[in-house]
Amino acid sequence: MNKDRRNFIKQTGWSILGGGLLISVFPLLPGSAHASKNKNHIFAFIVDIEKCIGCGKCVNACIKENSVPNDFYRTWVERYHILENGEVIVDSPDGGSDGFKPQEFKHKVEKAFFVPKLCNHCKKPNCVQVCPVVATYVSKEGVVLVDDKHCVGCSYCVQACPYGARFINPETRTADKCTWCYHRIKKGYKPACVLVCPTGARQFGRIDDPESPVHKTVKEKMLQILKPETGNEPMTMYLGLDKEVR
Amino acid sequence: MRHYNHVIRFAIILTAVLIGFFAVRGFIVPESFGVYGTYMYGYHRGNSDSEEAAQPILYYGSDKCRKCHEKLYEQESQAGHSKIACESCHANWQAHNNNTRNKVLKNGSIEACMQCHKKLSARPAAFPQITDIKQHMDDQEQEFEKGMECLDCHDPHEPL
Amino acid sequence: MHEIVTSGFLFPNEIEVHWSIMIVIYPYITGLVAGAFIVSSLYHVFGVKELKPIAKFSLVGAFCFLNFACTPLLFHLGHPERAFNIMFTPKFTSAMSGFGYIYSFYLVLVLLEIWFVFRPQIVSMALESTGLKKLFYWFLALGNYDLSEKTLAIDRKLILFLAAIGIPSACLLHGYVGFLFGSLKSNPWWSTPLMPVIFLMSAIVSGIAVLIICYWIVMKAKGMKPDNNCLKCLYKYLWGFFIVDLTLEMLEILTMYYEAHEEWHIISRMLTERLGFSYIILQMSICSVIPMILLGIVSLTNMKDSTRNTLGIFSSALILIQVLAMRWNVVIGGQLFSKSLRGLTTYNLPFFGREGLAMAVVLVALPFITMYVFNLILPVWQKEVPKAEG
Repeated sequence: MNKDRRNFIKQTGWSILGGGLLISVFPLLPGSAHASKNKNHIFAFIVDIEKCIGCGKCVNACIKENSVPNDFYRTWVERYHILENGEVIVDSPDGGSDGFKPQEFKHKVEKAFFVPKLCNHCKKPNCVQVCPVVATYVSKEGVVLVDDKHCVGCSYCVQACPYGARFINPETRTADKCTWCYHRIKKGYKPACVLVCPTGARQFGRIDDPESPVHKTVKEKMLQILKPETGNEPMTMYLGLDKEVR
Repeated sequence: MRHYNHVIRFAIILTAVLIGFFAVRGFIVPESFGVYGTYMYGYHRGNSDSEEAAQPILYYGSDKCRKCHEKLYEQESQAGHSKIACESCHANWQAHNNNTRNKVLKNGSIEACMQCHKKLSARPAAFPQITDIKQHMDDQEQEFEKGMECLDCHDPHEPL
Repeated sequence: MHEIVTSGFLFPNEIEVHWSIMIVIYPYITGLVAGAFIVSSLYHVFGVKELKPIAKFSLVGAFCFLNFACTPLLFHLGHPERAFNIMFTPKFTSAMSGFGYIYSFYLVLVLLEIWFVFRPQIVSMALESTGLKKLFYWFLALGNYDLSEKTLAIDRKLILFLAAIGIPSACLLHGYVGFLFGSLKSNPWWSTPLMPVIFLMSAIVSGIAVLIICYWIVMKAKGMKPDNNCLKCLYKYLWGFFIVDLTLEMLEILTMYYEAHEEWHIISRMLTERLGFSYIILQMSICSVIPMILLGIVSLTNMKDSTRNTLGIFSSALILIQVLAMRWNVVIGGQLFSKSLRGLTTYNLPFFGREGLAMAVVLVALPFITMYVFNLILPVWQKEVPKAEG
């Protein structure tokens, strides 16, 4: 065999091998954010800002129902004061669990409102995308859950959540967050915070069920989501959200 | 080939380590891993879902309370607080159940009412709220007496 | 412990800083690996002959740092006993899950290269020693004492090959660490495509700097004369890479400032109110401008060897601090401001404890101790150069 031919065969062999390797590895490459391609996001959570009175009963019920450790919150309530001079003052003492005290300002309050926050259970959750050990995932109902028996506690998901909904539970040393009370909704109960809300500011249910309290809202009302620019596509949606809310 | 002998020895060790890795992996990875999907979507420890769902429930909703407290339930459902769940102001059903009736929160203090009805600038204007009891009595053009409490005039189950 | 001082509004779960000093020294040590390896490859692959005296040592350095690159992570994990989950059940969409594989691959690669480089030495040690010691070296040689010219030629070829694929791997390893931060869209201080490149450049810079200092200290300790041509060459490379590194760091902050997205006001507050010392003074002034100027002088002018070395080593030390400050400012800084963009928190570094300062110092010291031990087992600074070295 002459040298040229041998080289040619050698080169072709390497390219075929390389190409084959590339093709076989391609589906394994880390995908983009489309972590929950095949999931049905059947539930939605609606927060009506104009109904929230900031009593903090939701935060309390959540802490009890889910034994949330001190100083961390699966849900919390923020209070916004927008003053005449354009200043925005936000507070959430103890996550709003004890309600709020009246506040005085130098400038006149132009508008003020409460914003309950919780896990957004995104369609393309950033936290699920980054978890290195699949300890956080989207359940088949579209609820984002944490597997605390598998979680290594690296806090990468805590960093990845744009909403501050996650924390490291000091007792289990794993990631923790709102599950929309998965144990309740699986048995047909409402999430604890929705149950105790005295004004109906929190609504939860299946989107596809006409009997559900969120069905009409999702289909007919104008809704907003938090930080749409992240592309996370939250399933927790807001009615009457102000531009100052992040 | 003789000159590659040492490389081959290294390769053998490396292969052994790799095989060992997969063997250990086979033991350690929980069985239910990946039952909801392959390595990409739905890949997680399958039992985690049911473990999460098996957590105990504390708040059961007013229908459960109604079974024993039909009268109160009827009374409540006719007035202003009709849409509020019992467990919203009282303790959760599970706590009540575990410790008999002792633990039912019967907090009639001003603070308990004020948690919702204290005047706050952030509360919706249409929501009934008062600065304090004295102001409230003045607004109602009634006499204020020291030590007055909300429950002197209102029944929390039929507040108006 | 001190009270956490917050100003403005933070989401209630953000008050505590989750990624501690351990996550600061993790990219620091990893960076030293990448830098040291690049230096050894400059000799082995690119044929920079001046670096010959340090080629072997840089490889050993890379190996010693590499051994401890993961350790800070184990100290940080909530469940270190589950650490292997990252390799057993990786999530293919997660940047972090790749770490186990990339790290292992690189470890094997460096181990192999070191083995080939040191094989003649291992064999001669095995032949010289007796008893348990002999068994140990026999084991290190994998029972093969073949040092024939043909075998050594194969070794040389393999060293070249490993060093060549080692370069992209080193870049991958550290660029990847930058990607861990750069790919988090939730954090505007981290989420920039420049992040991996900056991490890589600062890694190379820190690796060269640490080698300069180690080389100099070892030579002093052994009473040997450092090779001034080698040091001169290292200063030049250090200067070159540092120019690129600093330019990128400047570009990043300038772009953020000029674009002034909504997060800029809180980032600028974070930089001035919280990182005033570590960012503005250390990273961007003292530890960057001074070495930049000094290394420029060292590289461009002729001067006495002792003066050059004093200036060069001083600059290297400053650069090591600069890179550490940069890691601190990235990792800790990114967690000091709220994702609500309305408030700042503080990070109180405890002295004792699992994630304390003392532990961090120990972890940074461990690779150097390993170097010492390595040198006891296989002397790195042997006078006669073994034949196998390419």
